[in-house]
Amino acid sequence: MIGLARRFVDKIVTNRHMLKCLVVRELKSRYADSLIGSSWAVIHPVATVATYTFVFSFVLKSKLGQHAGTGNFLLWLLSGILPWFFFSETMQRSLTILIENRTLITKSVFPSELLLLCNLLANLVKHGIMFIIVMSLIIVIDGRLPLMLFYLPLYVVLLSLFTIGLGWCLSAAYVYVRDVGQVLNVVIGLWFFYTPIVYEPSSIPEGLQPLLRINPLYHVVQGYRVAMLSVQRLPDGFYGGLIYLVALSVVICLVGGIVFKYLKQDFAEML
Amino acid sequence: MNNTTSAQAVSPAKAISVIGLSKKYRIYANSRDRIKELLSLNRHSYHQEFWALKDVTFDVNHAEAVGILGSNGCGKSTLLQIICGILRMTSGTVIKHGRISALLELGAAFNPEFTGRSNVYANGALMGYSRGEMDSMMPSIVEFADIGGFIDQPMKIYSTGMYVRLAFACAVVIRPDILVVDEALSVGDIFFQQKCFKAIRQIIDDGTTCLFVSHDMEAIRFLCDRAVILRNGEVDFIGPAVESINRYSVSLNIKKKYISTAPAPPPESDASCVETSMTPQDILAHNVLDNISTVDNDGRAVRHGAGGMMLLGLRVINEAGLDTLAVELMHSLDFYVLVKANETIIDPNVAVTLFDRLGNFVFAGGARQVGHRLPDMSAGDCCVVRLKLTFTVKPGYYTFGIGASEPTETATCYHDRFEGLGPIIVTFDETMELPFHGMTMLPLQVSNWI
Repeated sequence: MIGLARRFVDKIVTNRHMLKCLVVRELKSRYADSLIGSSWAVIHPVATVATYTFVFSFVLKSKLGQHAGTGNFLLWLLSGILPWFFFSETMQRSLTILIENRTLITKSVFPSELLLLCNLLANLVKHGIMFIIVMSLIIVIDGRLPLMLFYLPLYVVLLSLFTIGLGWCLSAAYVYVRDVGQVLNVVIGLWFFYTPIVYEPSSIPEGLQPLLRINPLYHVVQGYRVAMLSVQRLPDGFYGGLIYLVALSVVICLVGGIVFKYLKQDFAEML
Repeated sequence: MNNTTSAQAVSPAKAISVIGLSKKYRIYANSRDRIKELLSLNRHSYHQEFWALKDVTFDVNHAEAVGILGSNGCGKSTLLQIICGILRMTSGTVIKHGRISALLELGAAFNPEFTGRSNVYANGALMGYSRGEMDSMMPSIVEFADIGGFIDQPMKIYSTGMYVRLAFACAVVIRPDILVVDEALSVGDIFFQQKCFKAIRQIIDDGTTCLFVSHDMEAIRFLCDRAVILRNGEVDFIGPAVESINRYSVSLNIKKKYISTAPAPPPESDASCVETSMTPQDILAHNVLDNISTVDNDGRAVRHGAGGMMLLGLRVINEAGLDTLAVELMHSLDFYVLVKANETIIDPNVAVTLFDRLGNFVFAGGARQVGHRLPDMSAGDCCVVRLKLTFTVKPGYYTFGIGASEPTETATCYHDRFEGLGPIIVTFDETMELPFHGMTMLPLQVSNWI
């Protein structure tokens, strides 16, 4: 297991220049061909957040509980949807990145697992920018400093491990079976509502709570909110959830790595 | 690059060792069968087997250039992909010493959305060079590719030629320890090809190990020390390049059937009857030196000389009197050269040179070489010289040059010289049998006794 990790780090070091180059390209190319360029990176999340705020805050008149950490639905939504955007965009991009770079895989010597890492890093950059925007909004509007922000890096790392592990599995599977793309679209759609992003977990009946807590993103979203909003009291089972998340992320990352390593042997024949 | 030599000093003599390499492809009727087989518990087989390589064994020494020959589908590309580590082998071993640069497809790291320059950086990054290191190589790459301002345009607007030029420039300037090239030797126009062959030759001479796959037997002969012939995935022969090529072309020729075995028409010998006078005005009206690009394509001047005589014009016509640079094998072109003396010239000479597409110096000859003495000239004199050259050389593309010179006590003084003109295309009717094989025809007489 340690050998596996060390070889992966070796590959990163050997290919660090290419990695950097691909991350920059990934960021540039996503919007290079559209008319208003990088503005789409802003417009899309703003539109999504505006829709949910309208539906849940104005139409359905959701009220936040006293332990939510803020009275402002928009801020509460933003802090929860932030990791979700990162997760869903990284997953969706994971599928196509291997196919798009097929000449790199079939005609040159480049470890394809690093393409997924590029995707993750590029999305992390975007994630960081969005975090700065949301965090500034929270500080300005709520006028309080987030005292538990030190939790955030931990959750970013765990979410990254989970995302890249899943990304490795799905992207490799997609090379063999293109149906994976359709499945992912459906699952991502359902997963959004399975994760308490637009509703508070306490609004779900007690009996269904364990079902909700299986979802690793449940803990990620909760962690982000704890870190970014001024929550007075840690939610029930916060540390238990964190331990569960650590274990699951590491396992998913390792399994993803091994699955990818196994499936990539025939990439050159399949692409 | 100095890292090449250092790698050489420490590594063992073999750059690549391929031992008992076999590759089996599984051919599935559709992708569903592949999944079915993957999931089947009873190991039911849903595929057909195809052995692309069977027990291939050979070595490539350091600083050696090895060619791989073989007809389509004999496993050449599969072999290269396995050596590069892109495909996995079914059995066998590949041992490599050094950093491999695979040029399996020109510009594999190129993304058409980005500019040429940005893609050159990407290509360098793929080979492990930082932006800073690439900055120092960039001028040579830009100069070699010679695509002008297009270097800063997105590559999607490039012509095929420009794309290939840039890709090739990257490959020869960013030197790896081991260069692997799959069918990418003969690219671009003849001027660029000559430049490429010169560059690859240089890379080989500087000690880079090279592995070429090509159908271009001439190129393999020119570049490689040894060649491997693959036949249906098996090594048919390994040996010196020339011998391998001979064996391979014999095996090819068995398949080929000539429609006609009639000899090509002999060169016309009635040179005297086409002796028409050519006025300086005629030459200047059809001046090849005006039409053909005389700008340098290699960073060096294509026109140089002491200036005692000037080449004012050149007209090239074929036997039918048409202005052309295309000529059929065994036929001739007339080079009418208009020379003007700027000073007194004793025993001037006017000559023509010929280079093949690999950059081989094929021929040079002029008035003096054939024993024709041109009149001495004083300043201001003009002279029209006709050089009738019969092309008894292998069909293909050639570049040529013309020059005016004067003998001195010690050496020859070149007064004016043009190089890199052309291309001249020597054509051949494929349905006929060649009157000779090889680079050029030598005088040959055959007799027999019963």
